[in-house]
Amino acid sequence: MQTDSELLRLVGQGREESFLALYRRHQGPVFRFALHMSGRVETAEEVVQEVFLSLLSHSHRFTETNGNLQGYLIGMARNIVRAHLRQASRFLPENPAAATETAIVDSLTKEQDLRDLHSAILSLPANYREAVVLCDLEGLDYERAANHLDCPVGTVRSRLYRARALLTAKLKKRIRCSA
Amino acid sequence: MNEDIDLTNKLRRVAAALPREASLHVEQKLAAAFRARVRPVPKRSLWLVATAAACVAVAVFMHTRQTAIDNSAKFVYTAPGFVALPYAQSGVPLESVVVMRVQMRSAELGSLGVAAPAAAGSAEITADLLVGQDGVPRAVRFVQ
Repeated sequence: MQTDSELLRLVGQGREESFLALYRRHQGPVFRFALHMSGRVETAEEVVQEVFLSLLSHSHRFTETNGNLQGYLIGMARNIVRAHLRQASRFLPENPAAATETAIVDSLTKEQDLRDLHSAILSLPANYREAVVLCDLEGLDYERAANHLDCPVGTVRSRLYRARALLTAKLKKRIRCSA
Repeated sequence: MNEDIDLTNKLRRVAAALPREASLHVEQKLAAAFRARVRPVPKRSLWLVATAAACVAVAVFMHTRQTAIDNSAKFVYTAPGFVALPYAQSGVPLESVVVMRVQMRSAELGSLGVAAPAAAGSAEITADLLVGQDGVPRAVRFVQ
């Protein structure tokens, strides 16, 4: 199997199949990260598109000394998602979690507690949400998550701890409200 | 502790319930964008470019050759006392010349396309031949 660097070199030579091979290899994690962060399939797909178009335009910028390609792509996705969220926050209603939740409610099971949890994830501050998405939803270890988020492992650990505490509190509050 | 395990399980179920990959139309859009960026030059355009390049090359070659001939001819005509031999202007540029003194008959001179001086009669004529580096005589000068 060709490495990411080899495929990138071939992309630079105009090889479409190499570009598509890179896309198929890495689009899943990028898409899921954007989906969990934005809560919208459409936004996640836009982010994926922007990330890979950017890779196409600036493929020479990536070198393996900067880390692995997936981390590089997630880093790009992170910046694009944040820009999307900033833009969307100008037009969203008072409860953004409620608005975004409806966008993917069909994808979730009908179980109320999962919908509540997803809604709670979307209402977390972006820093905490990133930690939950990468470590809990994507199953990355702390080191890789720290690499993707460009911060120390300890920071990831503490953000994740606080994020989980916030999620637990939010879920308890919802249970109390519904009871 | 139990709360933490419960939360972890629920998070896993949320992750599993959501779409895992972007839809196919994203890949199709990206493939189209890739093709648009690295579109190959049409074959017809390649032929046009090749033809134009060939025309330019031929024009430059002809111009260079003509200039060389003109220069050599100019050299011959401006050399003191020499008369250019008709039909003897080689395509090879005149880079160096040798002057050879020869004795020849009027008929031999005539074969070079030059009429012998009337005073010479049938006697041999002494002449200087201006010979190019290719061995071709280009001009002649009669020695008094």
